[in-house]
Amino acid sequence: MVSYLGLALAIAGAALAALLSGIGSAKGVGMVGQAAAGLISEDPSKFTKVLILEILPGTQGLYGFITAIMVMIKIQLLSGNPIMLTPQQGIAVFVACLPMAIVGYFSALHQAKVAAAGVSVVAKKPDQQSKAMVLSAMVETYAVLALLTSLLFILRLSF
Amino acid sequence: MANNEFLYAVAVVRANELALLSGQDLEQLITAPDYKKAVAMLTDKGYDEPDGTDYSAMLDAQLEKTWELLKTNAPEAEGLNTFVVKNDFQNLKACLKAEIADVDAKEYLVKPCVIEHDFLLDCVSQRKFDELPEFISEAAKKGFDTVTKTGNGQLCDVITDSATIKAMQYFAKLFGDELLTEYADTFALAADIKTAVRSARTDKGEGFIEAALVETPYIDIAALSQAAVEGEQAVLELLDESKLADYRAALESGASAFEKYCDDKLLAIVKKAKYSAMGIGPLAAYYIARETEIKSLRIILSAKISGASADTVRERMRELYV
Repeated sequence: MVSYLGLALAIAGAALAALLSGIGSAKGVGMVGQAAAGLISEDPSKFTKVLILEILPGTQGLYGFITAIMVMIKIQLLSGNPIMLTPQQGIAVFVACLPMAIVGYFSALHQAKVAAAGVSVVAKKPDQQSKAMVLSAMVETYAVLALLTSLLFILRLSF
Repeated sequence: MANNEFLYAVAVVRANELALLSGQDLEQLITAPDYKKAVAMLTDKGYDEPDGTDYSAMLDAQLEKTWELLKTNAPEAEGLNTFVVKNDFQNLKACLKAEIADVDAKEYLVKPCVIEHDFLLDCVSQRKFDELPEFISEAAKKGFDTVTKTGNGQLCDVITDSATIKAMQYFAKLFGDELLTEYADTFALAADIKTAVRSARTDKGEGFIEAALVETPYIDIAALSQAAVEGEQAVLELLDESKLADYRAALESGASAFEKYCDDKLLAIVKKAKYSAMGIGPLAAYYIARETEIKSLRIILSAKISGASADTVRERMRELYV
């Protein structure tokens, strides 16, 4: 009898990476969007400046998606003929996805808080927008590291 | 309430903070050659034109605009009532006294406030005190009974004044924000010290003092009441013992120095929210910042009319938020 447990675990890991990072980004972009809308309601000319800040917490969702795609490629799910993984291999793929899933979620929320504070910077000192962006981008570092960790794990796994 | 609830409103406030007057602006107003020039500078900064030398309406309108801005953008921020509920009690006092004097209270009512003027007037004139919100109904009933049965306006004031501070603490605690609670409790402390000193100077009885004082975590109310009975020196010593020597020093510098010290202390509390991007703190801070600015403007404009010196005005200037 063919066991689908390994494959299911690998798919669950990919789904988790995309889900948690996506939820974090959606919440994050929403938070900065609220702050941005508040500022635009008073000063519409600052739309472009705050748009960049709003986009920043959205990248984690993209990283989660890349992780999921990499898993799908690795297990040949996209070809329609997936590799039948053992439960141990499935667990390995699942664990490999966790850095992106967990760090993606939390870093998106924290980046959103910094970006929302950046909206206040733009409100009072529009010429300092680039500094607000840099501060927010610092949080991104950890999402990028988590993405690299997950990708390296996935790529180095051999079935 | 989640701390990120007011992201939109905070951004609105941050954009509007640019219109708050800076220390430099106030200095320019202080050194303006006359009242007309000072008013012209204010209208350039977004204030309405005053009606001649009656600048009160202009300043009141600005504060009302600030309140409207906050209520429009954060209608669910009930904690902000902490800052305006004192106006409701002011209005209540006006209504109660107008009832006794048989005059129309409407022109004495102030804004911003929590309770609509017409509703308050109706409740007082129809004696429907139970229909008033919980935070004011008891004080309204007691105040009315006192003023009608005893004719003692001062006692009525004591009842409403202590109820004012309790209502501020009520709204602050209801919202559960640390900054609001600290503000309300510090406000209560200042009021208690003023009451104790005034009572000591006028030889008030213990019953009167106890009714006037409001609980605050910064001082033992029973001890303060006892000290007030013993005299002003006992109150000052109690302040030292309660690690409130800074209040004692301000008191010893005179009444206006004490008022300024208390206002600065309250502003220092809301200044903690100066760099927050979310939460009710920045909204509260914006309102207090505007209120403080208006207090300073009243002093400047009144000095312009009376011809008081710039140095006298500078002494009374409050700390600014920006």
